[in-house]
Amino acid sequence: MLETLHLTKQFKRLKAVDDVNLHLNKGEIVGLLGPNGAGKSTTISIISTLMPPTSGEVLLEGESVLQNPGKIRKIMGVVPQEIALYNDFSARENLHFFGRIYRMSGERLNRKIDEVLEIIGLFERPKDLVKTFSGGMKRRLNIGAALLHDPEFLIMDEPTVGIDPQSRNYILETVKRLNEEKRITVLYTSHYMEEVEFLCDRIYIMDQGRIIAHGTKEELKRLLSGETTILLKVGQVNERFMGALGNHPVVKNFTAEDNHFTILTEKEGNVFSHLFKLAEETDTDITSVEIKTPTLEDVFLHLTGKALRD
Amino acid sequence: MLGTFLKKQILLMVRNRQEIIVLLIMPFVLISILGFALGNLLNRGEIDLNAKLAVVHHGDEEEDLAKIKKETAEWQMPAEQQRAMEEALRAMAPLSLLKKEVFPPLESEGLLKVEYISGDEAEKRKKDFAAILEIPEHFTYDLLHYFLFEEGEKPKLSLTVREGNEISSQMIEDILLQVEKQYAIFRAIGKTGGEGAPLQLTDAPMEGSFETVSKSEPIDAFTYYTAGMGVMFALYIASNMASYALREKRSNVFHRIMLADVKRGAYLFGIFASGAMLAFIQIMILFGLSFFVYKVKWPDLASFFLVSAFLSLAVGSISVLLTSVNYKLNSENASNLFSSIIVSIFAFLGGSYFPVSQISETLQNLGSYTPNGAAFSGYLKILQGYGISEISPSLLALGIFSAIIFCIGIFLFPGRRNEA
Repeated sequence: MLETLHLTKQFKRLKAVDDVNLHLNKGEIVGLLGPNGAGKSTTISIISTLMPPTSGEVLLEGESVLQNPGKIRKIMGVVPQEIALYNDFSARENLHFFGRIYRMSGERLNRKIDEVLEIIGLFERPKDLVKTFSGGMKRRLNIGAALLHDPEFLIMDEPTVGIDPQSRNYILETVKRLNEEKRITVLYTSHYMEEVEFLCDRIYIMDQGRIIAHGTKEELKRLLSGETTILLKVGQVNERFMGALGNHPVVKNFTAEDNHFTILTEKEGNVFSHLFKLAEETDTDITSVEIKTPTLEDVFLHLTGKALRD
Repeated sequence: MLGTFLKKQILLMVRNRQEIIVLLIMPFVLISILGFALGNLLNRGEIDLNAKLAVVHHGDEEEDLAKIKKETAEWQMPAEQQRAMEEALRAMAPLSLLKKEVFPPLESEGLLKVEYISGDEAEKRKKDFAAILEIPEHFTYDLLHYFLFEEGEKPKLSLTVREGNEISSQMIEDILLQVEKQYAIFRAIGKTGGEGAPLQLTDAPMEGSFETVSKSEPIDAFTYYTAGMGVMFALYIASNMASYALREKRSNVFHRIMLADVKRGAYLFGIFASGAMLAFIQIMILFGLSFFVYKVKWPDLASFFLVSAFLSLAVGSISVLLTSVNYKLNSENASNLFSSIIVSIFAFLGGSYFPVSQISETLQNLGSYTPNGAAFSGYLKILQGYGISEISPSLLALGIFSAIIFCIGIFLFPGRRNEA
């Protein structure tokens, strides 16, 4: 349905997007996973025709989107990372305005507004001003404004940033439902790997403007078949322990958060004995240790040597 | 599409009380103050053009404002209403009102020279001043408290007049009397929710008149300042439009509009049309109020509508230009500079504060090229009974101005390629 070919965007000295190739099939949910500053938002700005690339091409059903942006705009809904709404308008007034600029009117528009309010769970508060809404409600309305014209293709740029877990679950369930019931194709960007794992059929992992891996969840996790992820908790964080961990030949990568360590090691029988020996030599108390099922976070760590939220 | 943009813009403005105050109430207040004060003054004919007034403030207005805000906060109004109340209180602070709104036009005209000094200095230099106005400690608090809560005694200012300067001091007394009347209006607006209150002044006497142009009927002060303030405050619509547009960009609403396949030109034309329509509505409301309250009548309605429409087009064009510059710089600096400095300069040159015939010919010519100056000149000619042929130079100036500014605005608006 949609593909990008060697997409590149250069801002003065910074290459925000570097030779990005990705494709979306009809009815898929595709995740674009990467840390802040990876180039996700710039990539979707180009795909959604808001920004021209420095080089490369975006094709919709084989036709250039860059030469004919009107075609994709008609069938695409975009949920920006920012709350792109009028705070002094009610939910209904916002939807009415955005429906009107999509040239909808009369009974059709009113029916569609009711339907969208129902989907986003704001049917009971259509007349309340947006400025009185919670963060989660604003996010839901932000999504609603992109659904008014019945898009076939939805681009969602980190739509759950800064909201409570309950609202986040509601949004994720809504996206899943839209995909299943209306067969809407979704390009979903996030730096929360659990969201991408929950929603997406295929995933592109981005870092520093480049796609560094892609595939289904299982394919990506298979990248870790030669490695083991160990979660280690220590009594007191010790600089000597951290130094020794970094230099140990069995340890491929590790991240530390307070006294919790996530350690990526080679798959071999005596990893635990290496770790306990290291702890003993550096006077570090290990309070718990467990082997973890690999996640996309671990894949990212494996590929880049850093955590997704770094 | 234009209707959608216009409806959106009207709704945004109506929901912002501070803007309603600036765009509608403030010009009307100034028409009242300047009309009464300068009307009386000019009727006397012989005045000391260098009247010096010392203002001695014994208190701290910010402290008083903080105290009254604290008291109104106890009313536990919704946050929005509380904010509006705080803005209204700041607008009503007497010393700021005198300093920023009442005295500057009189000083510009050379009728008054105001110095803000300490009590000790006033005592030492009392011979230098025609009058000394003393604002007692806690005056701001007491005055606002009296009007808001209707409790206690109305606080008093002290005006000491030097012998032989009665005419100048009469002018100052007139000004203060009119300021006080405006507080009564503010209070009435507060009570009635903003409707109908200004009509209380309908029976106020209209005194004084002064010649503004060379021929025909003299124009009284209220008529003069209705036109003067009308053309001046219409310009604020443009800076408001540009500020709203920048907010649309920053919140990504603009991108949402572009994604609906609305062309940039159509968006800018929406800004132009909304700015022009809002300016026209504002002018009609303001002149309508002046008609009912001060009996300001237009001898030729068709010409009046024509000049108003051309002025509105100019405001629409300025809205486009300021929007483009705001977008280009990604800041509100352009619209802020326009509303805080350029409008005042335009108003000065255009004759909104006093007749342009009193300043140099060069400045007078310069003023006729400003949109407000051209419209003002057109209005004055209509008021003096001239026909449509005499106002055509003003219409031509406004038309050319609008076309040039609109084209520059379109040219400067960033394209897709230039957006970060």
